[in-house]
Order: sequence, then structure tokens, then C-alpha cells
Amino acid sequence: MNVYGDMGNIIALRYRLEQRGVRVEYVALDTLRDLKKHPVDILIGGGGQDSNQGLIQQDLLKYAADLKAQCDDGLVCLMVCGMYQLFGSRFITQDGVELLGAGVLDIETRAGDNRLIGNVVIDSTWGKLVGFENHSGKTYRGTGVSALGVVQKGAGNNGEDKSEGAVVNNVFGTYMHGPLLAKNSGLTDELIVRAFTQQGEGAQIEPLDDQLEQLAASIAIKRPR
Amino acid sequence: MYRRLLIFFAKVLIKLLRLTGRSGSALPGLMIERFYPGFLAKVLTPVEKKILLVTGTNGKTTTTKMLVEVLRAAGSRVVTNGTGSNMTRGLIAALVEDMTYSGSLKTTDWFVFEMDEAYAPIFTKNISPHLTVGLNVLRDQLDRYGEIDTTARFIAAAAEKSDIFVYNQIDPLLTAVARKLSKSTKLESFGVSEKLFDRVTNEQTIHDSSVKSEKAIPDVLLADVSEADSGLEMTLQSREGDIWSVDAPLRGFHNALNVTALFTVLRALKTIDMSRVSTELKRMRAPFGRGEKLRITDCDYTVALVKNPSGFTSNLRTYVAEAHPDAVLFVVNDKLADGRDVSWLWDVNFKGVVPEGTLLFTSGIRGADMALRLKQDGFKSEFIPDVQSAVAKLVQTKNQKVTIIPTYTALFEVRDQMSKYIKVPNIW
Repeated sequence: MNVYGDMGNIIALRYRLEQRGVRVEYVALDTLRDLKKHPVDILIGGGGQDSNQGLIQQDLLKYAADLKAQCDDGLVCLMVCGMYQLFGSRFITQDGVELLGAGVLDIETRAGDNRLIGNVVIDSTWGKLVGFENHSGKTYRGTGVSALGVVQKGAGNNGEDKSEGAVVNNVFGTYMHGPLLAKNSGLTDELIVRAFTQQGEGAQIEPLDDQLEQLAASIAIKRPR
Repeated sequence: MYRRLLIFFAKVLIKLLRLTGRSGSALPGLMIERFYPGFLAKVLTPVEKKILLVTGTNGKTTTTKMLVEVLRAAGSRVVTNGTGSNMTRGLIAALVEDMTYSGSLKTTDWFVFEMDEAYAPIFTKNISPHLTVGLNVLRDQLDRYGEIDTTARFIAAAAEKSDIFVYNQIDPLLTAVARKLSKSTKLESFGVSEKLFDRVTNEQTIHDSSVKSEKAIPDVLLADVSEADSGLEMTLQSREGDIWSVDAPLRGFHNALNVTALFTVLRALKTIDMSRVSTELKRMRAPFGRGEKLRITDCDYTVALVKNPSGFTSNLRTYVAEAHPDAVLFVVNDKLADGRDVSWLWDVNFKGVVPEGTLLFTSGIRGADMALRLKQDGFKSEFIPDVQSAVAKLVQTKNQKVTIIPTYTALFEVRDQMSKYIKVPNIW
């Protein structure tokens, strides 16, 4: 699930880790069964075509219990768009059919009539985050997750409650592309710190020169919806 | 009567707009759309067997221009639409401009239209063209029509209404489209020889299936291709065993595929002397913004437009990795025509592609994102927000060989800036 610039989240993480002298190994998983063989520190999921999403869903459901256990244990995840929806409890189609999700995030998504598309800016614990959303699904949170942030510009989860994304433990779900981790370096470093903490390492990392990230973010924030 | 008057006014409007240096398609097209609905169907249905549509994600403009040039060189009267004007208004404007002041179509041999994939099913609702060519289906701007499956369906709709569908058999989506068409559409395919399979980048085949999946012999095969200083040298082979040596002033493997598509179309028309085509192609000049070279004070500038990851990857390979310029300027905008979501820049790989030591500059509305992209692949670059200053800097530093890579709206800004230093040909 990576047809939407989602590799960019991997690229941003790799860059920031390598700048700090950390060796990074990227593993593309075809099935979640491989998580057992290849335990990872950070799991990234992106968007895909509807046709692929069906295949992924079957795999997810098969290994959902394992996945949930790892997430409960603190596995750091960033799930964007399609994978964000699939990590939820269910997806309800236009015809009212309920498709089960992995149930890691306490959210449910309903197929919507219009496309929620455009630049999006939210306020979060990790500062102002800027990205681009493009989804017709409307996601609603249950009590088991907090939002990633509050929408300042754009639609966010559903265009109604001004929330964007969902967070529980170290699992982050969002509709924000951009890619999210490229310009929003505060959040990227947060994921890195949490991953180190999971490893039992100290949670201090050297700051990097983020002038360019901040410049690009400030320009993006001013772009029209 | 009222309609003829409308056409008369639209023609005058186009002339006036041209006099003021503007391209005359949006307003006249809107006028006709509003007051003469069904114009296109009314005017084109009587001549629909002379209509040739060129569609696909990348290569439409280049392939359309080549087709028009070759047909005209063979003595045909051809009407075509301008680049970028590949939807309703652009087509209306192209026709209106060519019609007489009394509102009639002049006798024409071929109508060759570059057509936006999403518009193709709308156009062919009431018009059944003689031929549609599907060049490729690749991931385009992210915030456009979304999925490539949808794009393939659009092309399928147009192909179904056409007498002939020419398609790229390396492209699994187009091959699937071809297989599902009813027998009333004749199929003509083009492909590449096995030894060229690895030249077809991941982006050309994309999706999931591998290039080798299509075993059938295509109607026209790209047997061999090499790059010379003057452009591409290709050997094409028809199913019947004709062998054509073709030289074209274009660069990049993607253009070799476009030339192969061209030959497949010409062969399907059956009216062209195929032995003359190569001579005609040699005389062509590359469209502005698609690899054309310009000289400013002894320095060579090449401008290569990018619209999506596959195009960017192809152009990086051809105009940066292989051409080895001294400097590269990336100009990235995010207006509607550029793609407003710049996430796609992260689907292009620069590591190991941009040669060490190349001077890198970025500009445009999202030039900072481009600089960030480069930084994350290990490259330092200078971000000059304003395009005028960026081009001025390039000219001032007198680098021998420069490549400029702009997104769509940035191309026009780059052209305007360059025309301050030399005479720049029209964008066509």
C-alpha cells in the first residue's frame, strides 16, 4: 500500500535516523505474517487502490490478533489513508455493507458522497502539522483514541467534528499526505524517540538543522485549501 | 443562422485574443459551450471517420505532434488541437479557428486530437472516432482522477466506440482493456523486443505484472534503440516483416515508445507510405519543454517538463543522469494544472541518479519542498523562490550545460524568462 507518495514517510525517517548515525533497514512487507519473522521498530502503511485494499484487508484480519498484541505492547505505527481506515474497527460502504478492520484503532469509517480533498493544517501536541488530504471516507472516533490534532484548515476525519487522525499508544493514524513526516519534523522525531524508548534505549536525540523543513512547512501552510 | 453568427463571433474573438498575445481557447470555447450545446457532436459526427484520438498518461503531446507532422508532410489537410487544450473547450476552439467565417468545416483529411483520458469517454459518447491510441496508463497527478483502474476504464470507453484501438502491449492495464473490447473494434498493438525489456523502467510497466507477461507478437515491434547526439536511432519491425530504420530528434526510451506508437497508428491507417516517415521525423523539432535545446550565450539549455513520477523519473534519467549537465534547476508549482499535492515528489528517486557535483537549484511556489526532497536524498541545493531570479542566476553563472525541469505551469514561466535572453519558439 504505497501508491500515494507514501514512501516519503520512509525516506524522511531514514534521513533523520541516518543523520544521527543510526543504521536503518527498510523491509517491505507483503503480508503481516512476516512481522513475526521481521520484527520492526516502526511500521508504516499508506494508501492503495480499492482493488488492492481488498487483498490487504484479508491479510490484516488473518493476523489482526498478533498485530493488536504488538500495538498494545507499544509498536510504533504510522498508518495513512487506506491503512488508517483498515486499522479501524470497520468500514461501511455506500450500500451499508460492513467490512471489518484490524480493530487496532477505535475508529469507524463510512463511505461518503464527496471527496474531501485539499491542503490541510492542524494544531497538535507536536506543533502545527501541514499536509494534503484526499479521501471520500469519513472517519469517526470512539473513546479509545485521541485525535492527532484539531483542524485549522481542511476537513480532517469527516469534515464535521474538526478532528484529524487518531492516536492510541504509539499508533498514529491519519489522512494527511504531504508526505506527513517530510516537513513535520517534530512529529517525525517523536516517532523516532518512541521507537528508541521501545528498544529500551535512552530517549534523547540530537536536534537537526530543520530550517528547510520549517520553511517548506510555512509556505505549505499558506497555500489555499 | 444564429449558430453561424456565434461561430463568426467566436472566430473574431480568437483572432483578437491572439493579437493581444493570449492563447485563444478558454473564452471562445466557453462561449460556444454555453450558447451552442452539442456543437462538437453536430460538427464532428459527419466526419467522425476522419477522427484520430491520442490519449494516455504521458506522451500525448509529442505523439500527436509527430502524427500531425507526418500526415501533413504526406499532403493531408490536418486539424489538431493545441497542447494543454485537450478537453472540450480546447477542441471547440481548434475547430472554430479552422472553420470558415460562415460557419462551415473546411474539407479536411484528418482530425488529430490530443485527448485527456478523463475527457475521452465524454467525447466519444456521441462521436465514434476512426482510431484511438492508448499510449500508457501511469500514475498521474495524485489529486486528479485518482486511480489508474479508473483511467483505464476511461480509455476503454473511447476504445469501444472506435473502429481501431492502438495500444501498448507492455502496459498490463491497456492489454486488459484491449482484451475486453467487443469484436467491432480492430486491435493493433505495439511492443518491444525481449532484449529491451530491462530498458522499460518500472514506471513504464508499473502496477504489478512484469513486462514479460505479454507473449504475443505485436503489430509493430521496437526491435532496437540507441541514443546518438542528434537523438534516437531506432529499428522498428512490423508483423509482416517490414523493417524500418528511424531517427528522431528526441531523447529517452519513453520517446522511442511514442515513435513506435506513431508507426503503429500510421500502419493502421493504411494510407501512408511508411518508407517516407523516417525522413519526415528527422525534420521535426522537439516541442518546447519536451527536451528541446536552446542556446543562451554559448551555453546549452534543455527544458524537460514533468507531470508525474514516471515522467520525472524518465526525464531525470535522460536529461540529468545521462546528459550530465553542469547545473539543474527544478521549478515546482502546485497550481491545479501542476497537481496541488506535492507528495508525488517523494515517489521520484534522486539518490544514485543525479551525478555527484552537479549544481542544483530549486524554484517555484513549492521550490522549498523540492529542496527538502533533494536534501533527504543527500543533495545540497540552492532555493531561489522567484523564477525570474533563478533563471537569471543560471544565465549569469554561465554553466556550459543546463537542464531545467519544471512542472506544467512553471514551464510557461520558464519560457517567459528565457525569452528575455533569446528568441524562444512557440509552445505547441
